[in-house]
Amino acid sequence: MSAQVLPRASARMRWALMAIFAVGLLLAARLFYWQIIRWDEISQRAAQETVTDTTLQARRGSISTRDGQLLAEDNYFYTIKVDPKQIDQPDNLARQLAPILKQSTESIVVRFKTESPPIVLARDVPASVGEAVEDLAKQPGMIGLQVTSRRVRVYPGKSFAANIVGFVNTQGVAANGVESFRDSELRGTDGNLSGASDALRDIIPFDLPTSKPPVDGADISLTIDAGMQHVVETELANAIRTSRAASGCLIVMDPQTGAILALAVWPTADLNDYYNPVNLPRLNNPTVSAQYEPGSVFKIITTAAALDAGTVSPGTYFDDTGIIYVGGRPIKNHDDLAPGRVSLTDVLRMSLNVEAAKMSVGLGAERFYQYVHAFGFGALTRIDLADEIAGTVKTVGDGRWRDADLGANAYGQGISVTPMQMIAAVAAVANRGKLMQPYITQQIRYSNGNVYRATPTVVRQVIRPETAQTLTRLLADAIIGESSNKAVVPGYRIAGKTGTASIPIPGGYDPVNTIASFAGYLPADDPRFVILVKLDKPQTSEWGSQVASPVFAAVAKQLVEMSGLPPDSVRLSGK
Amino acid sequence: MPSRIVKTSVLNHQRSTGSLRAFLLLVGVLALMGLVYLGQNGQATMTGRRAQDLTQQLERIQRENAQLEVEIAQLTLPSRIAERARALGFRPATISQTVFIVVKNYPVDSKPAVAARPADTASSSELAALWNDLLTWMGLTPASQTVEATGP
Repeated sequence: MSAQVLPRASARMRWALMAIFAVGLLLAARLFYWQIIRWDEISQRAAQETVTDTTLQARRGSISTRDGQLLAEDNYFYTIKVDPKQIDQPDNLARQLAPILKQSTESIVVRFKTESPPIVLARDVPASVGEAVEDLAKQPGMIGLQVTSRRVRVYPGKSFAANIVGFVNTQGVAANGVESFRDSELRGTDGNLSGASDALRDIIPFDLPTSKPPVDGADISLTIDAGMQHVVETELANAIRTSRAASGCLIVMDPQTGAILALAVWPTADLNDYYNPVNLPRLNNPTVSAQYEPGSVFKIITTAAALDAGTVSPGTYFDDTGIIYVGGRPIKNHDDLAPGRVSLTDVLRMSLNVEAAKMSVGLGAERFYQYVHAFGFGALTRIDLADEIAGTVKTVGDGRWRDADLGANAYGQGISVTPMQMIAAVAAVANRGKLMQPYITQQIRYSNGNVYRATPTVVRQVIRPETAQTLTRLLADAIIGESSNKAVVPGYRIAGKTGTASIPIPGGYDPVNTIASFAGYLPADDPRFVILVKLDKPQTSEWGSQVASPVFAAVAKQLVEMSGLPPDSVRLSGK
Repeated sequence: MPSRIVKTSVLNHQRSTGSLRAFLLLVGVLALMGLVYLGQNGQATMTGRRAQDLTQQLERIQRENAQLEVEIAQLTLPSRIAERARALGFRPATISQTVFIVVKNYPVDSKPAVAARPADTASSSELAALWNDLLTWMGLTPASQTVEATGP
């Protein structure tokens, strides 16, 4: 009996062993397939499950004035959400949250009972509040308390220096001003952190995680002086209000270096509210991105060119009959003045268009436009602000230029410039004929400790130093002689020129509105400040001498007070 | 014969005792290695945890610092300071109220250092590049460019 059973059992055993072996072989084959052939894919999937890769955001650099007033910085805002069903003792949580969120316990309890989760208890609260709630959330039984944070670019000055700074939107895209021009320096480079993580995707500190630390953006200091900026913003706002002008701008420059000390634009807006469609155009910087016909302020350039070329001298007298034809087009003085025999100082004092046209014609188109270009018109100033334009200077042979333009350009019509070009050109006269490159970044401090310091840059010597000194004397004498000009700062000799420019409209010029401006500098013998005031469409008076000159005087007076610049009598007696 | 049996048994005993010692030594070494490994791993975990905590603390402090900087900036805005000063009865001193003392031959700040802007034309930079390439090709390192900055 057993002899018959055993062979059968043995046979079954063999089959069973063969089956087990076959299954084992199959498993080994599958194991080989997954572990060897598709190892890469499987390991990646495993890593996806267990390894968390987190981007470490680089901090965007800050922007501040040269005296340390913070203008832009990254900040964090927190949002607090609660799901009461996942809280062990909701009433207790409400009691703890109430003083932190500055809400009443009762109101929080009511919201827990009436609203459906997740309940947003607070949105965009500052770090101090958010982090206090974060500490609460770490306690046991608080799974339902969620704290999320988001990084926001904050502009603590709101509209202070808004048109200089520019802004960064919620997508991290920079627009306008320094934010846009210096985006690559400010942005920094994001890093990353990867390592084994738990179910909540938090990195487990079991092993050292591999990480690439972020490189924070550079901190930028501007050449802007906060006190001076406050003065120009206040005075521009006052001028706009009193003259009922539509818009305007005011720039203060150091003529010896080209550094912009203050720059104000009106209308402006709160940078934190950039997304408001009304505010968006107000945050542009028209001092570099918009052009205008400068009018009689441009006579500084025409006179400089004529003096430098030797076609006129301080002793030259003109016979002004009140009209001249250039290229077949009549050019007249304002109010149809025909003063007769006048000196060069009188030409500037009375702002005679006819004599300015005579000077440009006397120079000839080629020499006149050589000087215009040498002063930087028709080209970018290369200031470190975004969206700069070159202006429009028609030149001989470009297809748009007519003979009549030579006359009109002499007194600043038919030529379009940016306010930045205009002040840089006037600053060249103030700086003994040297045109400086305007700049607004004083220092860039990189996160690795390296520091870039801006160096004043000479673009070129436009006119001889003697010509510049002569012209300064003429401009200063003209202001003293002009009784209606209000650009007076007691104790300081000022050089400058008013401008009342017609505004081009389709088919001609606006018959009513003007652009009133004044460009000047002080002290005339050793200029420290060049100031350009421009008011668009003033309603109380059309004349630059009436609406722009007083603004110049008000700003200049405060600048000398702030900087402690002694009056001429004191300063020159010390030399 | 009995003495041979005793000798063989002693030898066997000695051999097995030796093997046991070697085995125990191996186990001991392995246990020690395991202990060292676990100790190191525990240390690494603790250090990692501490590093995580410190990083979080640093982040919190940086965020709080940023918030404080913004608050300081809001409080020190010139418009606010001017308003506060006026409310307290202060006003800016005018030049006529300022007394200047003239010091003869007092050393004044020298004029700021200025640099010439490089030429705008592309041809000059191309020529410079060509010259540098030529010097490099000849095995002479071109002179380093003058830079205005110490930055990268």
